[in-house]
Amino acid sequence: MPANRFNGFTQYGVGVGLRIPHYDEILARRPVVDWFEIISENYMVDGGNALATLDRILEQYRVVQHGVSLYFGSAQRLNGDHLRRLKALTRRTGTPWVSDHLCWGSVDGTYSHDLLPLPYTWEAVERTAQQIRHAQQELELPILVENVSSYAEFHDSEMTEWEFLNEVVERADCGILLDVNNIYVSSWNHDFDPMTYVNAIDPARVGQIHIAGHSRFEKYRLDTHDHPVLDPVWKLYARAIERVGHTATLLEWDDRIPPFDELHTEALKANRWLAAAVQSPMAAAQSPVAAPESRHAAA
Amino acid sequence: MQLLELQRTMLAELRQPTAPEDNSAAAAYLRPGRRLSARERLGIYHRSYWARLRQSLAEDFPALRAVVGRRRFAALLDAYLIDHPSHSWTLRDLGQHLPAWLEQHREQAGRRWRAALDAARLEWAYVEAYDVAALPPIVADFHADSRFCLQPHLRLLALSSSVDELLPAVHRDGRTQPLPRLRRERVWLAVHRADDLVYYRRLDRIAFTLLQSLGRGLPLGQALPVACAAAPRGSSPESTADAIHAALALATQFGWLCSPPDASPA
Ligand SMILES: [Fe+2]
Repeated sequence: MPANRFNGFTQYGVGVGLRIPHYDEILARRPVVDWFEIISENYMVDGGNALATLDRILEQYRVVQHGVSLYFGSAQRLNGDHLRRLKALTRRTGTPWVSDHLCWGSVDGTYSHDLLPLPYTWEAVERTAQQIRHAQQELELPILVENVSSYAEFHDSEMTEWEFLNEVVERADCGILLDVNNIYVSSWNHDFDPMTYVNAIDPARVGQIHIAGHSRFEKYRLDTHDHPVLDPVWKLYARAIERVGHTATLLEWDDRIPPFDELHTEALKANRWLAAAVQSPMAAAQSPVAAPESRHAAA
Repeated sequence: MQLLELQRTMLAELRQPTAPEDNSAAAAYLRPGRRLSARERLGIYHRSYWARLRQSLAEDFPALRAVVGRRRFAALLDAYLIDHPSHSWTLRDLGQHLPAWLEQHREQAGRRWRAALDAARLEWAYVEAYDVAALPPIVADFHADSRFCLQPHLRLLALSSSVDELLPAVHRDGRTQPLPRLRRERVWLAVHRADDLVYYRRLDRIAFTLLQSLGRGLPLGQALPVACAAAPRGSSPESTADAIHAALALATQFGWLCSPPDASPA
């Protein structure tokens, strides 16, 4: 039974990111993996090795698309060429949903290639929700929007990040890709309690969870995806699963990438909490923070 | 501040080559944190912006770096990025203007400008050949009025140094051998893809000119005399004819000839 309307894929279990250093091993050994997450932009090309490899992966594995540069929060229109190529790729992969970030990254056609933070204003809520709705219509697939790690806050902000996220997804009528590592990193950088964030998220909209490692510096935490998942992040994950139920989970590891088996073993640690969630699929209902009355709650 | 204005202000600050810790209006729109000032917070994004773009170009242009040297390469990349920030959703396109820009900015490459330009052109051709579309090749029936378009992943480069010998060496992981010395020489090169790998193949001048002429849309009957005119002085008609045949055989073997877009289906 799906945990919610945006989480009809609870059987997806634990996935890992498909990364180039693992191509040969995956194709040669064909390990059992629940699913792979790909960075959409790496495969939005017209030919060559990336697409050929993807096709071979698709013969055996389920693939979910995760994007990094649609920039729902950019003040100007989404890039039409990007959307068209993204849609073509979704037809190739059969991805059940498409995710990208709650951020901005380009202005006047110049791209930062970063996930830049938004001011949490009503103007940004409206703009971002409108762009997500547009992308959802164009792609004809559910969109999950992911909270990012951030290192800056704006004077203009009128609400907390979790209030902003809830407002955007409600207006856009989209799902959430909850990155608990990003919540932890931002909570350290901005001095809030990460558990407050996890408890505030509308569980009826969470369709996927990201876990990852980060780096600690003296004055800030940086979302580097180059370490195993740290204990405080597992605690947030446990709480998220308790609230949301069994949810497709993905370990992100993008730098200093370990051998495939090591990476996969780290990801599979998530099963400890997922197994418990199977026994109480309506965990969300037991949340101490009441799930908002929602016309979206029934799946 | 309106969202658009805020984003314009912030991206303009990220694009500045100097760190915002030294000079920035960040405090006007960013809150300071308990441990970091507004400028220091913007500094995290600033370092990340420059590091990401520099790394992307460094990965795509290792031969250019080998030609001009590490220090000059770093300065060259920053100067290029100021003139040509990314205008694409993919970093793959970031170096697309680098060859033309280097042609205009000789001072960035120093003494070895020609070789640097060759390296930049070759490496950008590699990026393109790696993932552009492949069209179905045609088994050509050669007539005087036959027209072709070239395989989209085929790039023809006329170079003035042996940078094609440098590229395999700089691409090799864990390189321990010294890099080959560059020689000044005319090199006519085909950069193309086969079985999803990119290859370089030296051509003779006749083959290069023939393919270039066909690629410009000339019918075979008009391309042939142009190619023959490129034969080395004193070549015999027989050796020129052999070279033409060899060029067409090579193009057929590698599937470089395709139907032009306006050709009616056979
Ligand atoms: Fe993430």
